[in-house]
Amino acid sequence: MNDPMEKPAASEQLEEFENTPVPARAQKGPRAFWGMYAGEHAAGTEFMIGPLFLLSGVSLHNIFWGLLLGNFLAVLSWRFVCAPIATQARLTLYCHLEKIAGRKLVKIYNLANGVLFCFLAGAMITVSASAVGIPFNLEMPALDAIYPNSVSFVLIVLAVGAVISVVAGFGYEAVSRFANIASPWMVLIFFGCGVVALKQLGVSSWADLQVIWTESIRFAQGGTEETSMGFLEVVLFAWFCNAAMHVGMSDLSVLRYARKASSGWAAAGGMYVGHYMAWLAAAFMLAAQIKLVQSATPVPGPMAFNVIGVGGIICVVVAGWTTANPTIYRAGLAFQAMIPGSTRLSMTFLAGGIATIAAVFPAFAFKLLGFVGLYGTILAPMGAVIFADWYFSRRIGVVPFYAEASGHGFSKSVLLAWLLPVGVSVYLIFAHGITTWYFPLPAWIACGVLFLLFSRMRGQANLIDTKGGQV
Amino acid sequence: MSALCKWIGLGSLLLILIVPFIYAAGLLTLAWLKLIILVATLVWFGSAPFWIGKRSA
Repeated sequence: MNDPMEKPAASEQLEEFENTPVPARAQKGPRAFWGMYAGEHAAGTEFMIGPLFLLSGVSLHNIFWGLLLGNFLAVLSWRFVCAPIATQARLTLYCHLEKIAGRKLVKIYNLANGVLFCFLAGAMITVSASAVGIPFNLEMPALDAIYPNSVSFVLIVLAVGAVISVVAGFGYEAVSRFANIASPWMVLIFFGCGVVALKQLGVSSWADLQVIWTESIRFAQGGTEETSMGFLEVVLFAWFCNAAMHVGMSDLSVLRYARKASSGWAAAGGMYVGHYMAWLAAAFMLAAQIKLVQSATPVPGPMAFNVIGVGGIICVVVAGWTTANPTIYRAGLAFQAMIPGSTRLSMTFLAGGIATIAAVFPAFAFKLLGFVGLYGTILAPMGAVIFADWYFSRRIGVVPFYAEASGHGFSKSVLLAWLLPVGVSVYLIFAHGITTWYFPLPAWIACGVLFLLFSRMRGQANLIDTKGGQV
Repeated sequence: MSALCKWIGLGSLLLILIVPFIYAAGLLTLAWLKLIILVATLVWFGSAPFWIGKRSA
């Protein structure tokens, strides 16, 4: 199949190769991945993240160059960490991890993934509610608010959450198709928002933009001009905000369909459309809002309405919805795997309920920068286990795919290698208030090293002798 | 039918792309920009389902 847009036979369409390597006939060329990545990363979260950079006092220089470099490092991670393993093993993350860590441990990892998915979906429900609330003159909570500010806010969030959860339960495929239709439109709406916002700011040069940007930061910070994010922090954030997907190997599930590892470059479509253009556009929207209505509350609905009107409101609702929907669906699947005998529908509703309750608390949306760092810190290190097992196990005399080879359902080596760096990181984040973006890389490296160390200590090398090195 | 919808849909996307530049050039008011983007959005969602994902369906 040379043309990636060409569809395979009907029987192949039904097969998702969940437990087997993707065969050559189902593999796709790079074109299929460029569009997918661009659409996937122009999502509801972008409406929140861009403005939060401005509110964090990031300088214009740092946001332009820091995001450029950080996104490039993220693309390199997809291309050289995730894609090579994906195109050689051709397994999903869960199938691959199960062979190393055992089925029971994968369920625990899946549960952690599901819970974090719920909070991410909750932030998206808040984003959608901000747009739905416009006709009702909904006043959004302040930036530092933890709790909801009104009964009407709670009611609108509950209504939006209920609709998204029900649709995730019953009509996932329809929304998935709708998301495909919406993605090219959404990318252009983001771009249009940025162009219009720049016009509203009245800038005609880089120097003008610099002045307006600095004034916006000063207004948002009540007259001061402090920053909690320098160049390094912006680079680390851009690099690791999707850490779970690239170094965390979640995208093994996607890139296993790629004919060549070079398809990993397609992640650039997502990074430079969604995590560069869209973040900048959203940040300019907040700057324009500050200039026009003197409000620094980064509420996506009103911000988008100010620049391109009802089309912007539709974009915020659609972006939040199409992100929250698959997220709730996946969280439901994770819960279902943990609870024997439960149905997918009931677990989807459970995930939707948790996400909706999280959405009532605006802190999850307004603290999204920190949350995505935490998300990467907790989930990405498991990717290091896959990386270390793939490249280093045999070299140091450890059996690759040990759980599969030994028949164990629970690898303590993997559990300890994962929990130790994650536990230390989470402690430092919550007890000492250290920024979350510093932790994904050291936790990832520590996890890989500890995995190899524990595997050696547990004497797995013996298995090579008894099985003649054939696993 | 699907070919016609495809061209109409792509035209609406092109409109969404260029209208902000026309506004930035001062040739269009904000009210008109908002209206054109809304109409182009409705045209896109009205036409795209007839050709996007058709083959897989």
